[in-house]
Amino acid sequence: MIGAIAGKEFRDYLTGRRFLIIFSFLLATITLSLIQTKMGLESWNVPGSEGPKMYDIMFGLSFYLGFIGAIFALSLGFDAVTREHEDRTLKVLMGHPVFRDQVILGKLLGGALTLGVAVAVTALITTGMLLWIGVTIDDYLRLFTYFLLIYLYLMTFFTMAVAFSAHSKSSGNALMYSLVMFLALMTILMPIGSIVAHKLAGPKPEMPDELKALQEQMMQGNASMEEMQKYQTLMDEYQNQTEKWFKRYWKIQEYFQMFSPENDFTTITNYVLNPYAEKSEEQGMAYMVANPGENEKPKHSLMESLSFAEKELAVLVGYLVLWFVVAYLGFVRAEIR
Amino acid sequence: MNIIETENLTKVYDGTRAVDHLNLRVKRGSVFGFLGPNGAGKTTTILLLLGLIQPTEGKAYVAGIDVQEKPVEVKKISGFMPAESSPYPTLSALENLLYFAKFYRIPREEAEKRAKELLELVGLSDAANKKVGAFSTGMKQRLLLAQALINDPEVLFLDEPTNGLDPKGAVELRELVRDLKKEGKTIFFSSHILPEVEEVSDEIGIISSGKLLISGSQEEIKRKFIEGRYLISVETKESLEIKDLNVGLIEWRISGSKELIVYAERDIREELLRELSEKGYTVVDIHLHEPSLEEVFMELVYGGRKE
Repeated sequence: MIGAIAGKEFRDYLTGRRFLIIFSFLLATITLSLIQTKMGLESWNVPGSEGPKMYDIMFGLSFYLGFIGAIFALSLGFDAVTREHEDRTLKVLMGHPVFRDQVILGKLLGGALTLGVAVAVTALITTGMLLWIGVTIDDYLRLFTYFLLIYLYLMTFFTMAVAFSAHSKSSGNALMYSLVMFLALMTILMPIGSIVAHKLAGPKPEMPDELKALQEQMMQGNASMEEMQKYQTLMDEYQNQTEKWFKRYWKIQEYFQMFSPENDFTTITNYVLNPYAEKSEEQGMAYMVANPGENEKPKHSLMESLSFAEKELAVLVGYLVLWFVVAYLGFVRAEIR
Repeated sequence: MNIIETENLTKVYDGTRAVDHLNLRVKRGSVFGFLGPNGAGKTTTILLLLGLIQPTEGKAYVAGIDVQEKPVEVKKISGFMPAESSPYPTLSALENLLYFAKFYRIPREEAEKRAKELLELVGLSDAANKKVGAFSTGMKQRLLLAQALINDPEVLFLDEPTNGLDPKGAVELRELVRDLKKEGKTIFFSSHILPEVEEVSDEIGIISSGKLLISGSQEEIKRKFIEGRYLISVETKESLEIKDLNVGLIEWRISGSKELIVYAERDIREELLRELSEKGYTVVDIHLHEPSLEEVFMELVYGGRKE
């Protein structure tokens, strides 16, 4: 039953005008982005130096994939359930021996298959266009993982849209809720995180008056040895406090940012695409070392890179499960009238 | 033997009783006309009988299966043509039927054969490969009927089936209902159009505000309706000048000068004849008034009388 419903949904998606238009737009944007990045890197390249790395090119692309891809995923899911009401087909379908959970699972599976095809096509085009830079086995593995992660990321937005569709009376409402939630997760979490971090981390330590006076004296060049030693002790203490405050601040900020799928996706992408990226203890975010030499081996294995982003991965999976449950319950519990 | 039975079936939506302690009995192999004005609870009853919604109270059985416990089992032996619905507009007529056939695990070849037969039956063979989105309302209704028959059901629930059909289509549908009855199928025919229910139904149930007001064969309904409230009219040769009548009636009045209208608790025609004769009147005509189904319906639904 689930297979039959998924098959119909898959077919509906692939032959639908919406899929063709938005997916074509996504592919066009990616292709243009790749060409632009290639031209940019070539013009900046010093003759004799090594060529661009895979991650240099993919970072530019990743923004488009993350943003337009999410819109694409929302566009597939927002009317998954409401369309049945609007086309007045739900009672016809439910009049046949099918359980409600089979219907919603079929719809989710149909969308998942469609997104799978879209991501696979994108991956093939992207990989093909990257051949000019000389992609290594490690690059291929990382690209493959990267597209799997894109799939996971897009699925969170697709299930979110289906969840709103299962709880809305019209497709218009479902689309509006989906877009508002998408924008909220993308934009509002950062400033909220900053405000909350300022509140929770407490006031930023201020330079003690004594330290200020000593600093003045030092600048005028009339400090004694004893005063210079005291200045050093006080400054160490002040810097220590400031560092602790920043750590507290960044930690809180990091927790908030982690709830943004877009931020998670960017963070994971940084680690997965770039074998030299590693976690900064201070800021908890991807930190890139200077460009390695041409024959230098990747600093981190793929598994190590993934382990840097385990929290972000967990949050993305958490979102997927959450929206899945909301969509499932919304459809299974809804009254048919 | 009853194929559909309900026991105090009740559905409350937001404090409103859409169906209120419904006790229905539908005989196997009959056409049951479920008659009621718009918003009476007809569709809700069908949705409850198919397990598409859960009752607030009460039980429903179709072919002995508890609908609440095994809705899918009920749907396997039922066909449903919902009101104000449409087949999938993105699929063709044939694809719609093949899609629904998958839910009964009908092998592809058999499903294709059955779908083509059904399209022929409902007069859509020429439009088999046309997208339903381009169909007229009448064509969609025909296809809805075809999809309800894809599993060769024992019980067929038709909810306002002639809505959107032109007169010819409505006649054809009623003929089809009669043919399906001949095949031994039970048909639950819901409508607000009295003449069509009257034409096709063996038994009728009249529902209003969620309550079943009366049910039975057309004759039974009329009998039940007039029980305790017999209307007899008498025409005499002479002008009537009566002060009282001693034959146990509820009320009487003289219409014109030669017609006596009598409401009685039972059929008192013989007593009336005797009394009028004793009073010296010559009775030209006397008859017990039998109400039409329309009168019963209007009186029950809009006149406030209940069973």
